[in-house]
Amino acid sequence: MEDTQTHPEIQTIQKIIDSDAAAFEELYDRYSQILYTLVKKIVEDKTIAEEILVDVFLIVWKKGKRFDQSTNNLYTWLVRLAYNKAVDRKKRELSPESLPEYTGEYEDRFIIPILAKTIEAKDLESAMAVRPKFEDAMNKLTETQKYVINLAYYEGKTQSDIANQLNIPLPTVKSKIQVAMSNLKHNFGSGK
Amino acid sequence: MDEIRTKELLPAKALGCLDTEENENFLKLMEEDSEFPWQEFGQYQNLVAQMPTLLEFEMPDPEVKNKIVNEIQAQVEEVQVEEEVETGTEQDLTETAQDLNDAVEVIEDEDLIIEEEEIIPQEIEQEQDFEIDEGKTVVPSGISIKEPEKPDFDLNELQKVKSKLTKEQKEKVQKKEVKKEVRDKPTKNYVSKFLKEEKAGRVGSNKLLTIAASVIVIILVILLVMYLGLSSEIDDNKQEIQKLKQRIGIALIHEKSSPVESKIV
Repeated sequence: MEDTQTHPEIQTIQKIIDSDAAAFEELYDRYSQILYTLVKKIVEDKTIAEEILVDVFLIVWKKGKRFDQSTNNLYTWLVRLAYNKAVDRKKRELSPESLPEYTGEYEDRFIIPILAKTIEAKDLESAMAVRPKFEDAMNKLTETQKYVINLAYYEGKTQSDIANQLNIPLPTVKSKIQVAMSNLKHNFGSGK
Repeated sequence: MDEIRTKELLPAKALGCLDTEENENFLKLMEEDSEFPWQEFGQYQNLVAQMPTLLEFEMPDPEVKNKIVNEIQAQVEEVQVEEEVETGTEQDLTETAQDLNDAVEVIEDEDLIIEEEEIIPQEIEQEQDFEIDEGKTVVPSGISIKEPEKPDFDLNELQKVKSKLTKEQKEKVQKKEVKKEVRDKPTKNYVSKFLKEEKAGRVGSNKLLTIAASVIVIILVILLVMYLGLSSEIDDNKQEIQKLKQRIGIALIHEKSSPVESKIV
């Protein structure tokens, strides 16, 4: 893990915690595109995607201190935060009664991600740098595996939802997801 | 949940497709299980975070940036107004507290029973409403927000405002305690103020009664003296009248007897 004092993105989030508006603007300029693209892919609506993007950056502004700087991985934290927010919004749009009331406590527990303390450091630049490698890893998966991953990730479906949609047993779905992810991880790792 | 079962859940959790119950269990494991496979979970987290890099990036509307600034400004101002109201109310009430404390002590010695709850809330509510109105007119914007047609904006002003907000939030618990104390004090003081007025009224009426009684006593004394003086004078006059009557009686007797005497003579 890199030294938190020298990592630019960690310095940026620390400045935001210290109410540095310029750092906040810098973070927005750097991450708004990838986060907006991800969110829009999930909710499939421009206006809602923009609202979610506003919410995500407001969370960063207000609760940036909940990011564990020792992980040195602001990229994964932000992507996960935007993902959680988008999926939550999508589920609330589809079936509002299926989720508990959105409160600060709910947000802290289910929206703001918890990264593994031992996670490898990553920022936007390093993530974009390995994009071709990741694309190769994805392309090595079978169509079924890619389809299941897409259903789970971009459509925000749970394993039970996927089982119902594909009309296959839940254990089969669990197994397929497990194998698909394991293969993706292996492909991506072996591509280094 | 054993280690194998936990590891089975890792990819699904990283992908975000665990069912609600399994997700709850997983979160508990993260918090409580000392053997939790953090390293493998971290690998899956980073792997899934690569997914959006494959998408074709789109720019959000420039207005989104302004919306964020507006939201932050609104929230900061809201908190500022709340804090100003709290601070203003606390200051005003604290100022009156000292002045009225003595009155409370004095009046508490007396056996006056006041229904505090009927009086206090109205007083305090009026005070707070007034401060809120005052606060709204006074609050400085503090942040310059650009018009919608100007997508670029300057967030520099937010730094100062949020800095203040953060400090205030840190002191929020303490302030609430202080506020409670201050609220209690003025409550007592408003009662004391009421009691003071009551007492002042009573003292005034007591003084009037005393003066009236004194005047009455003085008048009675004067009347008594006059009565005594007059009665003695009346007695003297009565005695004189008696003497005069006696003299007149004697004179009449002399007059009646004198013709006879003259005849005899």
